[in-house]
Amino acid sequence: MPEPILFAYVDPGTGSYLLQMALAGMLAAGYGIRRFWAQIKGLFVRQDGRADADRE
Amino acid sequence: MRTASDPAGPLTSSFRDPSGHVFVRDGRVLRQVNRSYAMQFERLLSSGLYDALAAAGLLIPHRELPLESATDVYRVLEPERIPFISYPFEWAFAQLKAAALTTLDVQKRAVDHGMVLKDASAYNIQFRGAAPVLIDTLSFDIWEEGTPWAAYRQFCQHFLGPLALMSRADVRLGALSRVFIDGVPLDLVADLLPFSSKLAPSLLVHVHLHARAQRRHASGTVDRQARRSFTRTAMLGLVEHLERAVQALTYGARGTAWVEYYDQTNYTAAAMAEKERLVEAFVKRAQPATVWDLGANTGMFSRIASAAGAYTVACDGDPAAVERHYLDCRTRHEPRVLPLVVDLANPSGPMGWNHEERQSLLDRGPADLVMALGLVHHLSLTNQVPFDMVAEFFRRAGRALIVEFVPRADSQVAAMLARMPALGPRYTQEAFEQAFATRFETIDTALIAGSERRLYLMQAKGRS
Repeated sequence: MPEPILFAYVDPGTGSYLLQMALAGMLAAGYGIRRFWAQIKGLFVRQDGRADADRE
Repeated sequence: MRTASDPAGPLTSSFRDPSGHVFVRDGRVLRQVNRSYAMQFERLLSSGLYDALAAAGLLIPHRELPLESATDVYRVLEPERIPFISYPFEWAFAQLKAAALTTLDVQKRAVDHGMVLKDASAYNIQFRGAAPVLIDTLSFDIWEEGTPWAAYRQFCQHFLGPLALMSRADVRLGALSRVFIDGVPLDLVADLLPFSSKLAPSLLVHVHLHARAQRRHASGTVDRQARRSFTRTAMLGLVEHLERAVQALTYGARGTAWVEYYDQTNYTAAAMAEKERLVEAFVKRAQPATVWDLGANTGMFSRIASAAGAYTVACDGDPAAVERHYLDCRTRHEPRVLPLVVDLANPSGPMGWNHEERQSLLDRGPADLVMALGLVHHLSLTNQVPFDMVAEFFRRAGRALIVEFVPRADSQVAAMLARMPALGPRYTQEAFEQAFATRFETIDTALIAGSERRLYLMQAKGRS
């Protein structure tokens, strides 16, 4: 297994790293909850497959 | 495009990433992949990530060229050519937002394939018409699950910070990206944002707390073992959180003098139709592959050039006008018009390392045809640039020129001259024609019926 950090030529910033780790639990929980609701919603609502309007 | 002193060496913009570099050979733009990056590059291909991103239009497609020597070169790629390289400080709000969302989409798909973006520079995104695309094929690293996103800081500095300033403080702060070439420092963003930005949880976290964390840990290091807790779900949560933060930032593109310009001109509907007909006829005679529409406003005439098959860079100094133009291009899936925010009185100069990392506007030309419609009186009067200097700029910018002269009798010019009477004596049609005659040959000229204005089709002297 290579050490991918070798290719991190952009300084990630210690503060930026630590902030992400501090937020990890909240971000994961938020993601999990949204996925869960999306699944519940998916049982009742037909997907319309609309593309992202801001990027088209 | 300029290269470093070694003509076969890397482009002067391509030197930071040790994974490889871009160079020009026989007029073709090529990307070298270094042997040290072989494992990452192979993973990009074998994981299916390259195919998925290229198919979605998110990553520039390339073809591999046969290797000529077996040094540290692992691969040579020929990416699809980008018609015109533009820079983040030249983009309207919606363009920077689209580039940010593209970057996040790429990151999300990369994580799905066990990889990660190792950088999130806005300069890695370019536009093909209205569509943003990642051009750096070597931006990917194998993701060691548990590790936070190394490019998070760069993403916030290049995208989220400037977008927040443009949306929540003033759209003109987008120009800060021209000063800070590696993105706007987050402590400055935090200082410039209004207090109300702290009430938006995403800005509170990714700008305000982020800036504070950076300040507090400015010189610290992170224990490598401690970095193992950033799970895949946390990474996807981070990307989604940033996506929602970007989506929530908006800009209305109202309230500037220029954005309502077409509603307030001196043209009758018939005269405007006549002007469009004349411009179309002149464009068809010039047969350009590339057009620079200078002072393009919301792009009424850029569309004519694009319809004639020319890739058209539409420059205007008004961020609101460019915003509307870009949104219109996006709605129409315009493949050949690139609207950019450029102040012609102070166009982008050569910048970055050694004055050559980012090219000036003129260095990215010349265009086959320059269009300067309803522009010269603004340059000559509002910006006080004499006709011969305007003509010289146009000659450096393009091989041919469609230019409009608005005479003193026109009420708009008359109002300007009333405010700046000292410029009156030099603002005459004779002086205009004389100044341009030293640099251009007039191919055709026509009065725009129903107005006092005149159009010229010119060819630059001493240029094929």
